[in-house]
Amino acid sequence: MAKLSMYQLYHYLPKTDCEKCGFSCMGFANRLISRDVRPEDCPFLLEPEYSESLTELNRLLGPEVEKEITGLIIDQEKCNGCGICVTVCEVNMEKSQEVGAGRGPGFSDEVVLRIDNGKIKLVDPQSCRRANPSSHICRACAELCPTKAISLV
Amino acid sequence: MKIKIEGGRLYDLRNNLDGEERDIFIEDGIIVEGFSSADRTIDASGKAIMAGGIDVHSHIATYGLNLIRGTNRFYSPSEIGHIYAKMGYTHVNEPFMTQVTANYVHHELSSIPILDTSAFLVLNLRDVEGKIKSAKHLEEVEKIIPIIIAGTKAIGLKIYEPFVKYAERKYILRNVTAKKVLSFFSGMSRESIPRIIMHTSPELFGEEIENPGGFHFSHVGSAIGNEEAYQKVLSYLNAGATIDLGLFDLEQNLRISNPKQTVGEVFGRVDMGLSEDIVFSKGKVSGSEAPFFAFKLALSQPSNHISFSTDSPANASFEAYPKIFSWLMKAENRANLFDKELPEFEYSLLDIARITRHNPAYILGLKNKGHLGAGAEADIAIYDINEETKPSELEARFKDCAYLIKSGSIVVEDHQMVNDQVEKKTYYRGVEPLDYEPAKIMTSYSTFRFENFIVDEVFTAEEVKI
Amino acid sequence: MSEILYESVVCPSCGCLCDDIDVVVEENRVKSIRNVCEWGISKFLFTKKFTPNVKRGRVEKPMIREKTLVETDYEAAISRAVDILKGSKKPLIYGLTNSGYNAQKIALSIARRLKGLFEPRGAALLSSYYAAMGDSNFYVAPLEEIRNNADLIIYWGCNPIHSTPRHLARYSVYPRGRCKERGSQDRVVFTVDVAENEMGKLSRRFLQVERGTDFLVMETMMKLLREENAEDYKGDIATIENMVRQMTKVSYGAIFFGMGLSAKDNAAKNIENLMALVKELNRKTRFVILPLYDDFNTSGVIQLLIRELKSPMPADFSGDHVAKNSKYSLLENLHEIDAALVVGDDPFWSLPSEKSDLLKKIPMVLIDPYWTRTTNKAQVVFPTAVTGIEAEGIAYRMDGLPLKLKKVLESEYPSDESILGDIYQRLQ
Ligand code: SF4
Ligand code: SF4
Ligand code: SF4
Ligand code: SF4
Repeated sequence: MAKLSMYQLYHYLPKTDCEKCGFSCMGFANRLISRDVRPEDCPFLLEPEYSESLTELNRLLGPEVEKEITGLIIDQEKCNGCGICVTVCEVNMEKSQEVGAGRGPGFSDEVVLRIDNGKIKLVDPQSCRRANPSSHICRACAELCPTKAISLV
Repeated sequence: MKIKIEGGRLYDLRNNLDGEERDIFIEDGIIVEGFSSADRTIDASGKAIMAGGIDVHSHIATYGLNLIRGTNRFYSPSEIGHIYAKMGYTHVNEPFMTQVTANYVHHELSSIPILDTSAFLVLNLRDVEGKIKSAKHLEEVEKIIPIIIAGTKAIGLKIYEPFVKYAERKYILRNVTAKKVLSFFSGMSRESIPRIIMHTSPELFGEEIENPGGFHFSHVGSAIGNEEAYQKVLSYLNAGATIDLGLFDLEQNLRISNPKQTVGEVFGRVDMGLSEDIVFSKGKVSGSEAPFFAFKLALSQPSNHISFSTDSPANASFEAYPKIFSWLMKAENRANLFDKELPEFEYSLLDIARITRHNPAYILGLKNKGHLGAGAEADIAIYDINEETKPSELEARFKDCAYLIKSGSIVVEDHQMVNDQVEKKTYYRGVEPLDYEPAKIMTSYSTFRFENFIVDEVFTAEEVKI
Repeated sequence: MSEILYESVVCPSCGCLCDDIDVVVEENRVKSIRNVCEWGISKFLFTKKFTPNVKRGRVEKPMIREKTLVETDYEAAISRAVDILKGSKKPLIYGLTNSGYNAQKIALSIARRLKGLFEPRGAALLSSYYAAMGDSNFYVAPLEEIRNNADLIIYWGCNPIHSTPRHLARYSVYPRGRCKERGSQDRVVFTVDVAENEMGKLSRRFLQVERGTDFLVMETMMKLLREENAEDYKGDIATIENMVRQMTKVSYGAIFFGMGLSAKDNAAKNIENLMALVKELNRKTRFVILPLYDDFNTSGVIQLLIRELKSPMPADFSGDHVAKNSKYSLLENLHEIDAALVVGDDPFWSLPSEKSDLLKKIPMVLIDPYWTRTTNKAQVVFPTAVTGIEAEGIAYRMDGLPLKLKKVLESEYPSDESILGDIYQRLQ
C-alpha cells in the first residue's frame, strides 16, 4: 500500500454526491485523507448496507490515525509477520515478560505492537515512545523491519 | 498370567536372602506371597535369581548422542533395550536431562524397548543465580525445584557444575562460587529434594563440602586420580554420602565428557547452556591413575552407600558390565589389569545384587524395585551362575541371562529374547499440590513458553509418579 | 457456539515450530490468531503460503482413478491403495516432512514391510549434512543456547525471511539472550546467497555467490583461516577476507544453512566443505551449525531414521540388509520403482521434471489435505486432516527438540497417521 489515494477511498463511498456531508463524494474522500472528516460523517455509511465499506474505510485510514500520534506508517501489505519489531520494541519488553527472550507476547499482555492474524498491528499507539514527547526518540521497529513495512513520516 | 519360579537361589539384601532357595510367585506383574495354581512354571534350580538390574547412571538418551549413531559409534534404542535385557537389567536412569531437552530425552527413552526409565534433571544454575548467592532464598528455591522436577518428569536433581561462571568479563558479578553453591544446596531439606546428585570432577574434590552426607556423588571413579582424592571420597562415605563408582573398561573408545576430562580426538560438541560444552571423543584412557583408584575404591568396602556405574559410555560402555562384574568377583580375572596391587576383596553374588539392584533403587527412590519381596515389581533376572561356575565363565553368564521377566512378562526365555514388546514405564518424582506459578522464573531465558516445558505424556511411556 | 482460546499452540508450518501461537476458534473456524507469521497463518486458514486470502482447494473425498479420478468411500480407497502397494516389487515411500512423528514411523514400517524405499523430501542435502557430520564432526546446540550466546549469525544459502520468517526474531539475531542482553546490538549477521535480498539490509556483510559454487567460498575461507594464499578465487575476495577476520574474532558463531546449498547437484561438495570450515573455525573459537528446515518436521524424520536404522540416509529395504545409500538420494534410481506412496508432498511441483516424468508412469497413492499438481497424477487420493491444526502429533524443531502439536479444529478427515495405520494393518 503506497500512499493512500483519493480514488481508493472514493470506491467505498456511496457515490451519490448528495452533499449531506457538505461536499461531493470525491471532495469527501479528499478530506478523509487530510483527516478533516471521519468516515462516520457521511450518514449513509452508518447504514447497515454500507457497514462493510465503513469497516474498510476505517481500516484503510486506521494506520494513518496512528501516524498522527506516533509518526509510524504501517503498511500491512508488506509485513510478513516476522515479529522483529515486536521483539525489539522496548516498550513491549517492559509490558510483557515474554518478549525479551523472543517469544510472542502473551494473549492478555497489553503491548504496543503485536502480530495479529499474521500482520503487524500497532495496538496501543499511545504507549509508543514516539507518542510521548518526554521520552527519548525511538525508531527501533521502523529501522529494523526487514520488509520496510514500518516507516516514519 | 501367574508365573511360579521354582528352585532358584535368591540374592536380595532387603529380604536377607543370600542364596537361599525360595520359590517366587508372580501375579499381574507383581511379586506375591503365593498362589495354588500357576499358568506357567519356570525351573530355576541351580540358577541365581536377582531383581532386575537398575542402572543409576548411563547416558542412553543424552541430547547429541543420537547424532553419533550415524557412523555406528553408538547403539540404537532397540539395541540398547536388548543388550540391557540380556544382561538382566530392567531399569536405566539417564543422568543428563536439561530443562530444555526434557521432551527430547523422554521421547528417546520411550523408544527404547523393554526398559523402564527415569532421568535426572540437570539444573542450569544460571536460572537461579541471583537466589543461590544467599541462604535467605533457600525456601523459595526449595519450592521451585520439586515443581520443575515434576514438570520435566525427572526423578531427581543433578548438579553438573556446582558454580556459575560466565566467560564474558562483563557478567563477572553474576558468577557464583562453588563454595556458595555447595553450601546453599547443603542446606536443603531432605523432604523436598531427597538426595542431590553431584557430578563429580577433580575440581569438586578441591572444594570443602560442609555436609557431604546430603549428596550423592556420581561416577567418582572419573575424578579420583590420586590418593588424596581417594581419601576424600572415603571421608564422604563415612559422613553418609552415597556414590556410584564410575568404573573403567580400559578398552573403551567412545567417551562423553566435559572438555577438561576429554581423552583422545574430539569429534563433536554440544552446547547445553553450561559453562562448558559436552564433548564427544574417541580414544582410550591411558596414563591416568583414575581407573586404578576407582577399582581400589570398589574393592575397599562394599556397603549400602555404593552403587555400580561406569558413566557409560564415558569410562566403559554398558555392554562391558559383565566383564567388570567378573573382575569384581574374582581376583584372578583382574590380575593383569594394573601393575599395582588391588585389594584382595572379592564380591559375592549378594554384593553384586547390592550394588546393581538394592542401592540404585534406593538412590532413585524406587521402593518397589531392586528386591524380590512380596509387593515388588516382577522384574526378575535369572542367571546361570552357581558355585560350580568357573571364574572365566562369569562374564559370559552375566552377559546372557537365562530368563528375564519384566513387569510379569517373560522377555528372555532360556537365553532367547522372546518378547520385547512388554509394558514399559517412566518413573518420575511428583509433587502435591502441583502449582507451576513459582517455577516460571526458570523459563525466563527459554525459547519455549512455560506451558510447553511441561513434558506431555506423548513423550513418555506409561507414567509412574513416586 | 462460543469462542475458544487455545494458548501456546505450536505452529506446524516451518522448522521453527513457534510455540507461542494463541488461537481463537469460533464455530470450528480460526477467528483470530496471534503471534503467528504470515506463512503460519496461511496454514491455519488453509490458504496459499503468504497469500492468506486465497483458499487452497482441499481434497474432500477419497478418490480412485477409473478413467478419471472418481470419488469413492474410504474402505474402497484403502483396498485399492493396499493392492497397488502389495503388487509392487519396489515401492517408494516419499515425502513425510509435513507429517507428525508417529505417522512417519508407520510409513517407515510400511517401507520395511514392503521391502521398499523410504525417502524424506529434500534428502539430498540432508544426507550430505549427516554424512559430513559422521565423517568429520558435529557441533550443535539447541536454539536456546545460540540465542543466549551467539554474537555472529551466518545464513548460508537460505533466506529466513521467506522460509522461516520468525527465526530471526525468536532464535537468532533479535531476541535478547542470557549473555547477549542487547539483542541484535550484540550480534553481527552475515548472509551468503545467490542474489541480494531483504537479508542484505540487516546483514553486516552480504556475500553474493554464483549459484552452486558455495564450496569455492568455503575453500577460500579455509585457506584464509590457515593463512594460505587465496588469490585464485575469482569473486568478492575482499568481503570474504573481511568475513573471515570477523569470524575468528567472535566468541560464538552460529551457521544456518538452507536448500540453496543443493543447487546444481553440488549438495555433497558444498556441505562437506561447510562442515570442514566449521571444524576449522572450532579450533579458534566456538561455532555451531544447524540446517534451516522449511518443512515443519524434517527434523523428526531424521531423528526417526537415526533411531530405527542408525543412519539418517534414505533407506532401501529391497536387499537383505538396509542399504545405506549414503550421500545420494534414492530418487536417482527412480526408474526402478514401480509404485509410490506419497505423503504430504507435491513431487510434481517440487521435483525437477526429468524425475517427476518417471513418477507419471507408475501408480501412486497420495495422502495430502490439498489439491496439488500431483493429485491428478495419482491412482488413489486420500483427504486428510492437517497435522497440528486438525490432528495432534509430535514434531521436532530444527535443533532436534520435539514439541507436541495440538489440535484446535475438528475435522471430518482422518489424520495421515490413521490412514497409514490402516494401510499398514492391511499389509500384514
Ligand atoms: S454525504 Fe456521503 S454520500 Fe452524500 S455526498 Fe457526502 S460522501 Fe457522498
Ligand atoms: S517506535 Fe519504538 S516504542 Fe514505538 S512501537 Fe516502535 S519500537 Fe516500540
Ligand atoms: S512490520 Fe516488519 S518487522 Fe514487524 S512483523 Fe512486519 S515485517 Fe516484521
Ligand atoms: S516462523 Fe514458522 S513456525 Fe513460526 S509462526 Fe512462522 S511459519 Fe509458523
